[in-house]
Amino acid sequence: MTRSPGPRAAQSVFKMARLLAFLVPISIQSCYLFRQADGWLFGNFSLFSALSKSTRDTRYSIYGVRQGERTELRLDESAYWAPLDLIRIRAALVLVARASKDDEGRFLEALRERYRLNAERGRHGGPPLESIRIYRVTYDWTAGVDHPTIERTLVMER
Amino acid sequence: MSFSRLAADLLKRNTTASPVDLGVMRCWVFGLLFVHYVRHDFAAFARLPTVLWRPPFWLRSLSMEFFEPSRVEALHGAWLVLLAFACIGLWVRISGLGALLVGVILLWFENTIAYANAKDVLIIWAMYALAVLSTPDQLSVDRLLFRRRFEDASRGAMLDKGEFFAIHFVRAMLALMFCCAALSKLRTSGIHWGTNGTLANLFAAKALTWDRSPRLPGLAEALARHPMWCDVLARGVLLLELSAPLVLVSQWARRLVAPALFVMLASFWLLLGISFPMTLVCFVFFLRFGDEVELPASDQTGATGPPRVVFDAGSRWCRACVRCFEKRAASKSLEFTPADDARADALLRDAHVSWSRGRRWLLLKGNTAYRGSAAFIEMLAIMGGVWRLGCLLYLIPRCLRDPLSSRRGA
Repeated sequence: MTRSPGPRAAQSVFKMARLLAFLVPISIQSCYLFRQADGWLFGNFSLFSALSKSTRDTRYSIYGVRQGERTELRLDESAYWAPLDLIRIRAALVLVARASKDDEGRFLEALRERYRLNAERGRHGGPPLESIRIYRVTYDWTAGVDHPTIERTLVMER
Repeated sequence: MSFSRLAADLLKRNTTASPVDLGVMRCWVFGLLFVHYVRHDFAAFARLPTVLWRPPFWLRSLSMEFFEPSRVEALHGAWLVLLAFACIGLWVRISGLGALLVGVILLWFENTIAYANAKDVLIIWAMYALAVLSTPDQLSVDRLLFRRRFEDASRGAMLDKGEFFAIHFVRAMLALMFCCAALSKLRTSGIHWGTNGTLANLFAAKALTWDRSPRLPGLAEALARHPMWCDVLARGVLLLELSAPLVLVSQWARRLVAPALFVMLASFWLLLGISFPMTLVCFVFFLRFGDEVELPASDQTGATGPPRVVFDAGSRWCRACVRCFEKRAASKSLEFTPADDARADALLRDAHVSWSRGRRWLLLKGNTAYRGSAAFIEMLAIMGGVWRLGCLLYLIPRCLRDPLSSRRGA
């Protein structure tokens, strides 16, 4: 009479599956040691890899217009927009600027709603806003970090 | 030396000795994920314009409308429940796998909106390691509920060295992540990344553009005024990132490089406001929580008799604890022997275990010897009842717990 190989065979299949589950993701991630590509889950984490020689930087900046006073307030802090972070908002602004005015409007409306919701939830103590303005701001610190020049252009308002 | 011998040596040298470790790591990872995401509003992403939807090419057929806000909210609720269950270890296989699956869907969805952020990647691999690669561990509600089934599984698991796979997987992914980042800098910019003021310029840009919320405001500007120091820092960063793979093979590297990498990530947050909270959590896989050794089959002195405790009789703290244990746990029959007693020498000699006065406690229970604060925690567990809650002390890393407990006795 032969003994059934069942449990032992199942165990070795299980061990093999676990070994593969261990090795496959590590092997894929190891490939990124040799190639320059970023993805999600696998990538080579190239954040800040490029040389930064320029002393000028241009980026979108978010301002709010206070209700009543109509004065501006800079809103470049994640607490106003959580769970959206500023990198994501800036990437989104590039995309909507390339798309259509409708998309631009919808996105700024979503930002205003987020600001209001976060204020309601006590995440920030910002005042009620009449509108949101997006500026393209160029910073130049050629004369030193203590003497920067800042130029800004209004690109969107809602 | 053959490959299999090398692999066996590596396994022996790097495998954590305690099956408790994996359970504590599971508690920390799933518990902190729960805390971090409990107030996170995933549905906010579902309310953004569809033009921001950027799925990978193989999922282009899937529409963003699929992720309607109510569905995302339901998924978020389910994820939190699964995370809580996985943290305490209730139906740990199902809750761990469920938390991994739902977590991947939610985090993937968030990262298909406008921009893919790499900061969530490692925590997904940590969940994967705990849910897919690990084996049933010693610190879970399941262990109390399904004792018999669980003990059988644990025995098999220990033979399988399941904890080796899970712990080493996360360490390997972490090391690869840092190494890839360093090679990416070298490939893109060469060694100039650390020599021509790139980091100083980065600090200046961050300080001026008021990007996020640095925890130490003003420090980035201060550093930006000193490009030479920044270059030294940059070279240090490169060297540290390149040396990350050493943590896989060297215990010394684990003691030096892993904390240095942790401090580096934490200082990104303090200086620049760039936070990697869940990546920092993954450093828990470098810590040790349990302290136990399996006794050789021939030397299992505690296998038949009651659990035996050797303690430092010179310590007032130990003597007070022993009095308390003897008073409260007469029925549990722990056998206490002072370390300077001749019986302790015989016991240690029979068990082939060494005694260190600094560790204060040694517990021989069944086929296992527990040392230091781990022995004390196991004694609380043996007492039963409310004293079992003492097992929560396992959540404190051994490197903090042991010095604290030995200082008390000084």
